[in-house]
Amino acid sequence: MKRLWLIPPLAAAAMAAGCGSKPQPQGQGQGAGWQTCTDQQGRVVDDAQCDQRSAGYRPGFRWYYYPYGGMPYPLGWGVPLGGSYSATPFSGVPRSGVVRGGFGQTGSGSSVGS
Amino acid sequence: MQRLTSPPRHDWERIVEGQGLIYHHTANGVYWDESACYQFTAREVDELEAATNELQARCLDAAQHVIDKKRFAEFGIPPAAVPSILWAWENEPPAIYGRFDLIYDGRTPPKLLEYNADTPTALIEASIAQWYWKEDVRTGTDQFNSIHERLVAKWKELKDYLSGDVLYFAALPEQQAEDLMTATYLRDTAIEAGLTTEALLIPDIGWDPDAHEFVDLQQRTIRSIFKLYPWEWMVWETFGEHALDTYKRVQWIEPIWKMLWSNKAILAVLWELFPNHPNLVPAYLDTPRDLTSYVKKPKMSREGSNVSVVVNERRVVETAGDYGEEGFVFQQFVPPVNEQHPIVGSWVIDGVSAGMGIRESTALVTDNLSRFVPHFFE
Repeated sequence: MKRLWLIPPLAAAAMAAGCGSKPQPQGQGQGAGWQTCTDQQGRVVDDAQCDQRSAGYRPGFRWYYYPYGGMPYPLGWGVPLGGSYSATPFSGVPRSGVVRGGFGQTGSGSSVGS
Repeated sequence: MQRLTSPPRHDWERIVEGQGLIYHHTANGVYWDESACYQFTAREVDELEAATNELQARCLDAAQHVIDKKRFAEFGIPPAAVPSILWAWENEPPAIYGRFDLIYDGRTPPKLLEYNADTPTALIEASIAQWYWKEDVRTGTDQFNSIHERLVAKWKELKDYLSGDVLYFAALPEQQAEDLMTATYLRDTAIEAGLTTEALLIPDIGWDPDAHEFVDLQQRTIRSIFKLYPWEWMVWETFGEHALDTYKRVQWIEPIWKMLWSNKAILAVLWELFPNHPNLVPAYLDTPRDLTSYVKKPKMSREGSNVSVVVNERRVVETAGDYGEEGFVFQQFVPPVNEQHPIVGSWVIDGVSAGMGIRESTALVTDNLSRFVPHFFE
């Protein structure tokens, strides 16, 4: 016999609501700056694509240094104005650290189930 | 196997919503359709159960064949993914569930149309909503359905085997919330089994390039994760390379070797290895050969996209979509059982037949706008 089953309300609500949101970029002056890899349109991509030692290196992709603090942007976002670009990493500047958005790019808003 | 009309329960929408089936309507109308139901005999259920277990065994044979003969290119699998597939096949990381789509009329053996082995949905309706429908409407009858119990049992078995302290459940937010609710339901079965779990959205999976590991929103290392997101997409996405590099250190559920089963090329391999098997229909890679009535399916199509139906050499249906670059499988056309085109979704939990759900559709091709119809047997 099947037991009575109900979705734990908190779990369902958390899932349906998005269960935490993507990290939001913060304002200026909250740190020593950060750098991230960008594509030719200035969108954040995986750091490996700027790393010439990596198999995922993409010629033409560049490091972007933002000196005003805040947090690195998620993958796919356009970087803010005011920073500078370089083909090699900016020394002494932390890389973007944890990046998100590297999965989920193919889905189009409808169920991926089959 | 008989289709019966059945008066819907008063306030059925509220009832099924309370059971987690919040996606009871689609843009086209009713999805959970209890104005009808299917009645089976015990013999028919036994036949479906036996066919499901037989197909599961033959699919294991077929996957072993693909691996032994290195036929990955025919499946459109990138070479970079092959080492992880081989490792997973040999080491057997956790695999939970899958759903065969069968055509069945109660008179001839069930026949396999495809195997949704990586990211099957229509789970809550099969496991929960139709069970309580039967309890309300067909009291005293039975149902081919031990899905919930088997899921809980499998998680209990895995409790001491999973890596890390937390098992993550990740899905992609989408309009119908079907995926989120499916992952939430599976998470609930894991909680019932005593596991510690967390929910995560697929895009929120983080990559820490310094530690070379995946992390959650609190930067905690992810060691075990159920993902309702297909490997055939994951391997091509930005983090795909990282997932392959670190595959041995992260327990992804379902495992990556499910790419072999969820790919429609497996249908052609099955027919090649087991021609004239009573539960298979002729299927071929890339050409229809001598078939004059057939269904042309992209190897990686989802939800009925880019499918053509040809009957007596005349195309009668062609669905839209973005699939097909990876090549096609041509499968003999099997005439529908009735004008509602029912397809039996036969569930496999932990490698064993566990129950079924039936979807109907107006069109020849079952898509994501089909209707779920409950069943019972006596």
